[in-house]
Amino acid sequence: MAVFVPLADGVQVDIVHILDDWVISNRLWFVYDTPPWDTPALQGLSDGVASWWTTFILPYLSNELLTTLVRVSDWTTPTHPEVAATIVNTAGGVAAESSTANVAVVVGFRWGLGTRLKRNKHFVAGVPEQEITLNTPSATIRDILFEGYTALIDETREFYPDTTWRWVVASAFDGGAARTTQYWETCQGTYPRRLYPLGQRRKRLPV
Amino acid sequence: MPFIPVPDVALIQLEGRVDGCVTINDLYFEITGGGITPVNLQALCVAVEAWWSANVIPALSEDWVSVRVVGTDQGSATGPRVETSGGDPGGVGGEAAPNNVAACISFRTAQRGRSARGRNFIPAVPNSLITLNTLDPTFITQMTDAYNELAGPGTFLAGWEWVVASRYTGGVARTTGIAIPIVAATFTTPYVRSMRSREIGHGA
Repeated sequence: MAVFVPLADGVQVDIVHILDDWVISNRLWFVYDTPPWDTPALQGLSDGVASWWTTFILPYLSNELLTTLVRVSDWTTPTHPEVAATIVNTAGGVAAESSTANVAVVVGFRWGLGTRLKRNKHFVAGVPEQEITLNTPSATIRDILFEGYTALIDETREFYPDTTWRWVVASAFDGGAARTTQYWETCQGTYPRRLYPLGQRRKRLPV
Repeated sequence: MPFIPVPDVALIQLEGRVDGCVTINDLYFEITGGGITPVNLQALCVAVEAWWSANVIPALSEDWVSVRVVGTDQGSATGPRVETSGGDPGGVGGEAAPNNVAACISFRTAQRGRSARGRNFIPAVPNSLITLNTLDPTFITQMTDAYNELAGPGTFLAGWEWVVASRYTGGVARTTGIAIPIVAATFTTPYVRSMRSREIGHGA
């Protein structure tokens, strides 16, 4: 069983999708600058992430990808209860076939430290097949993802309540050993867009 | 890793390249009525290369190209090795799915357990033959028919039988590997599968 490593004053946000009848998700970490948070603040974060995703990323993905909800889990306690959620139920905006579910564009997140500690990244699914040539994502989709994820830095500071939430890159393990609490740094954006490779998520395939 | 012999068994490696990455598919054949020699190994290699070229390559994307077919005696570490040249591109004039996307065909024997099953991850499936995650039924039939041509004692090539080779059991190396005849090839799912080592940046 996975070890629970808390994130002080932090939450995990899952963006949940359905692709080919299979549930998949992307995870982000956020920290609250002025604890303790309250219910409206958690809902503000959930609604904010949903709005960002449906504005900046989802319109450029295949309509075979359906984003169903955004959910926020309190990552300060081992039971990590769901504390807010936003129903999305919106399909991607491109009327074209998606790449297979085990194909994703990998967007790595930068933080203030060097490269030795494990960084966070998103495996973006539902990329239209036309945006991938053999193994190379198109410049267009890389530009869109770069601009979209970069926008999340500023968007986060405008989530309700203003200037309280912070998008962070978190690390739960150090040298293979679980930390007492997750180490985090403010996310500084993504890797250069030319370094977005194709990656794979084989567990996203139907069985 | 020590060499584990599999007596009277030859490994045939079907090597190709797509987007700069090597793809390798392994097939094993057991010889009956005599040992493996360079001559009978070469005959097997030529026959498998002809089968591959006639039955499988035409269904692959033109992004893939055959490099060579290599045959190796698995009976001893110093046994014969032969190869035939490739060069044929895939026969479908359309883009291949990314390298990690493959069609997985399972090889079944009359026995149960992991030692008694094999598989091939068929590379360079044309995008036109995949709908989201699902392989075109025609492609599945074509591959199943092709691989089933290999099954049966002496059916494919006199003196040889297509087998699964097993060198480990329960995670422990066998002293001598065993060969189990394959009776059928089949797809267990219509969905594509992943071959991580073929991703750009992995493998050769």
